[in-house]
Amino acid sequence: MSKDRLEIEYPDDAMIESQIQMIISQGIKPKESFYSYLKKMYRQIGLRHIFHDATEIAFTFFIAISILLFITIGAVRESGVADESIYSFIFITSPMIYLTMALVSFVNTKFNGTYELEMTFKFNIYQLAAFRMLIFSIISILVNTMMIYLVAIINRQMDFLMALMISTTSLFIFSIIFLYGMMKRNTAIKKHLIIGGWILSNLFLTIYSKEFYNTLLIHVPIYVYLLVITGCIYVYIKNLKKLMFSTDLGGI
Amino acid sequence: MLTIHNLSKNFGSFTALKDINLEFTNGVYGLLAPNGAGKTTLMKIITTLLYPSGGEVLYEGQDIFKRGEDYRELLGYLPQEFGYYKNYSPMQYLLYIAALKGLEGKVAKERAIELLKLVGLENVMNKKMKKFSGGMIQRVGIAQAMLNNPKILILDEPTAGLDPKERVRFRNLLTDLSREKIVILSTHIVSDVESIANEIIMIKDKEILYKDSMRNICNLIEGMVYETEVAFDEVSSFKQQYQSLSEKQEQGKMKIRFISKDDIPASTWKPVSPSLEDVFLNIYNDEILEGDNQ
Repeated sequence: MSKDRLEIEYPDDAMIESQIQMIISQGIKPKESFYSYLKKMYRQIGLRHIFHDATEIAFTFFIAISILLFITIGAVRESGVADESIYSFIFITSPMIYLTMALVSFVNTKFNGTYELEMTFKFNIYQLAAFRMLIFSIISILVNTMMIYLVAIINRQMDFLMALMISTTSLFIFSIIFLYGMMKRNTAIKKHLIIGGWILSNLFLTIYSKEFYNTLLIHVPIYVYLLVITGCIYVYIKNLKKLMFSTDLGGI
Repeated sequence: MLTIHNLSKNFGSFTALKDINLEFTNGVYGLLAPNGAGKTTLMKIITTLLYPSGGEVLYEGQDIFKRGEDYRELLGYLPQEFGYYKNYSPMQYLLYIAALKGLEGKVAKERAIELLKLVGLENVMNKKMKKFSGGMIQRVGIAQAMLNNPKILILDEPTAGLDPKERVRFRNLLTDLSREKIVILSTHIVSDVESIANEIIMIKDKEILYKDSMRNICNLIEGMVYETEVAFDEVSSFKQQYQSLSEKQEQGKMKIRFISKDDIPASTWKPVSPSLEDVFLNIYNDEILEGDNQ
């Protein structure tokens, strides 16, 4: 008995290639870059919603600035022209604006009990936090620069460039530590220790080895600061990327 | 399809869930168990809030944790304790959530208005939520869960804080909204799922005890549920012999609904059709008694 065989024409190479490409393009999602993801977030969510608590942030920001300004002017007047402890003061206080802004949203989310819900959205708390922290670092650099400029006007002996380097280095070192504390699933106490540790360890150094601490800050050449800042920015962006794309940060 | 394979969850040395295997296709599933049985833990794993200690959860064959935002995009979730920003109006809050769910501005606004009407909050959509009652907040919660027209809708104790009228309203609402979706509704209130769930899932001793239709689950105790009237002075000894399901005083006697596994029932016993609540009370008898004693 003869069987009717179904004849299927074998596709040519071009057809095979186009089919493979189609399967790949539909099956494998292209990896998004950090920048393109930020752009996507900006377009889809919009700044109004990314900074939905802008009023609270602005309020806290101005209080923090006022306190810092008050302390800074006081410190400059107290320390006098020759005292180099202004540099250690800048090193300790530079991350404070950043810390204040970053903490407001976390406290807000925790206080209102929206954390659990907001973790299940397409753009979750960590992705939003990464975007916001990047903006906060930029704002912090600008504010710190302005404050240092102001101090440099009052205290003409202070080296503006050196102070700016010290401030930016401090800001990024702290930002890395802060991010690390956020990404590791630490207990609340450990997280507070990480933040408080910055102020305490620096204060400890200032009190017990003021000379060494100031000398260290002043005698590091500018190019070393630049190298450290570059390295820190690299690590910071890398960690922000991790915070944005990692699927391993959930868990409450 | 949402599939759960050999799932387990431990918190330190405490086991919350073990060896859970479930499959969900479109329909309403009622996750029924007493408080503390592991319902919320299971819900939190399905919503990617908690990682399983073992096993996996797959949606269309892919691990939900690896799918990340692609999976979360399909999700609608109402947590047991629904948090909100007190100074926001429902409209503001829904628009904020819609943005985080990736909805385009115009679509979001239309959808938010549509849902607020559906949950009966259209008159207060621009009022601050700090003045809202628990029931109103819960309705905002239900609306936010539906914003992105989710494929998977997870509702953890959604009727907590609702009065009986609002409960009925919620059930009707859910029946309307649940078409072409996987809806998983956890509750310890039997009447919440009795009328709307296609399947009932019961958890006992950290494991899935039953996953079946209500009818099949009720059939488990078919022919064992009776009602009878007992004199007050005999109630105590009667209850020692049979498991009482409900009691009420009627014409100077106690009318008791109970379970009996005796082959030959007494002539004064009236056989009745078992309800889901009867099965629930029968299965969780020990746990409910423990809870009462605590």
